[in-house]
Formats: sequence, structure tokens, C-alpha cells
Amino acid sequence: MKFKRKPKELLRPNLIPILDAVFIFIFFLLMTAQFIDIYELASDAPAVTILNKKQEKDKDPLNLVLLIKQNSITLTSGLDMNVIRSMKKEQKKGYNLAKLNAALIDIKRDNIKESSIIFKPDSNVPYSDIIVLMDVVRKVDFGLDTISYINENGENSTTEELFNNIIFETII
Amino acid sequence: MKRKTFSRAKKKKIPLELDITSLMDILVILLVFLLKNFNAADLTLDLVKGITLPTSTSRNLGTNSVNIMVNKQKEIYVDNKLIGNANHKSEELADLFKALTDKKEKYDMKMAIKEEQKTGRDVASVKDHRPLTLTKANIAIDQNLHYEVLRKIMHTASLAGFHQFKFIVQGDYQ
Repeated sequence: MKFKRKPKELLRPNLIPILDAVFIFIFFLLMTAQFIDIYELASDAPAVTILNKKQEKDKDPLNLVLLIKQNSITLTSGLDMNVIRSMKKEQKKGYNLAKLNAALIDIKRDNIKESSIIFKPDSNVPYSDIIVLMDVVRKVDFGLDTISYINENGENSTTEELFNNIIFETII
Repeated sequence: MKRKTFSRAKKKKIPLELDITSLMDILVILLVFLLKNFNAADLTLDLVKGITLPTSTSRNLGTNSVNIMVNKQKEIYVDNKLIGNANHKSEELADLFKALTDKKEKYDMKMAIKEEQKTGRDVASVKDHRPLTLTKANIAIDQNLHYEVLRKIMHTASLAGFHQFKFIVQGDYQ
């Protein structure tokens, strides 16, 4: 016996509610759209801090300073401003950022708690160069991911931050 | 003569079906594009003409505060309002100082009134005892300008009581 096949009815989902939601979502996104991705880099004005006697006895302050000139950068430390590394800016490549980053990683390993660096740029240094240098002193870069160290509890720990607290010396 | 009558059989109304497949395609593409560009930052900055922001690897999202912008021509804007330029020889930019102190005073007064409404203390006593809260300034400077301009801006801002500076940069995707 032959049964007559019923023609299959095409199922049509009701798209109206989802379309409503998508429209509202699009309007919200369009209103809040910002076509340049904006981020911020922080810096504080210099402030005077008074070291207590105990701190003074323990260790001399690192006083890490980056002297920025149009054609060179010099990294110094200590109150006597001992030169750690000096690098010339090359015409095409610019500052040797990998070398600076490596020097900072070495300093950070010996001073793991230290997070401040003082920037001393000359008046004629371009602002874009300062931002590049701020990026380099803030984080471990150029192949190395993290710095390993032993924390206060004697456990192994890692950090990728170098000197996050950037202070401009010449502003006040 | 027989009158000709037009007897029309009533046609059944068929509901119009609109093919929205192509519209849906466009919407989905637009949605993906907008979602990709969505920035959750609190800060919305309407950059003035003549500013190219430097690029940075920073991924710290900005927050709203007083926005100081300086374009290529060294014109200074505070919250998108032109207030002067940075061509003066002196370190302190008087126009900027005035604009920033005004902003700070207005903000402090607003906060004091809010505090008064909350606690019932009078504005004057609230204003005197409350620590100053507006200490952060967003600085957006054209990348081609020199440090001299930035130094003057920071110097003036710190004199006006702003000692936290946030340099506004654009994301670097290299």
C-alpha cells in the first residue's frame, strides 16, 4: 500500500526579536565607537620623601636616572650618578633599545623591589622618543619574558615589570 | 441592454515575506567589526585637529579627568577649549594655569556640594577639610613636539595642583 508523503513544511524561525536586539546592540556600539585605540602611560610629578634612618643604613638608594639627549642616552645610578651604560642614537635605527632593556634587567635583578626611574630629557628631545623610552623601561622585552627571583617568603617568583614608576626630574 | 458588471472574486491576502538574509549578513559583519573595535575605557577623547598621538605598547585603559591637548602649532586646549599656546619663553603657562585652577575649583565645589547633600555639613567646612581629589591630568601631545613643551605643561599643571600625569598614546600593534 502506498502512502502519500506529506510535503515537508519549511521551518522559519522568528527572527524579529533577535533582529531587534542586534539593532540595539549596533546602535550602542556605534555610539561608543572610538576608532583610535587610546591608552595611557602614567608619570608622577617629583615628590620629596624622607628616608628613615633604618632604610638609610640598609642600602644606598638606587637613584636610577636616564639622561636623554637628542643623540645619546646615559643610564646612571647612585647619588654620585655613576654611569652604568651610555648609548649613542644611530641615524637610522635610533636608540639601542635592546641594550638599554638588557642593562635595566640586570639592575632589576639586583634591586627587585625598586620600581622608580628618573627621566632627565633635554629640551630638544622629541616627545615620541620619550614615549618609546618609557615603554622600554617599564617592561621586560626583546625575547626575555620574565625575571625570576626569590621573594620574601623564600618562594620562586617572576615579574615582567622593570621600572614602572617614571618620574620627570626637570618639571618643578 | 444588460449592464456589464465587474464582479471580482476577492483574492486571498498573502502575507508579504521579506527576504532579510542579505540584511542579516550586513548586520553580522557590522556587529563583528564594531565588537572588535570596542574599547572598554572610561576615557573618551575627542582629539583636536593637528594632533598625532605617539604609539606605545601600553595597554592601560584611560580614565576621565581634565584633558590637556597640544597640537602641532603648540596650541593648548583644556577639555577641547582653546586657552592659549605654549610659545611663551617662561616655564609657567599663565593661561593654562588659570584654566586648570578654575577646573579644580569647580570640581572641588561640586564635590563639596555633593558631600554636603550626603552628610548635611555646610559647603565651606566640607571644602576646607576634604582632601583635594582632582590631581590627575590626561596629556595628549603631538608626537613631533619636543620635551620642552611637555615640561612646560607638566610644570604648570603641577603648580596648579595636578601631580599625576597620564600621557595619552595610541596602541601599537606591531
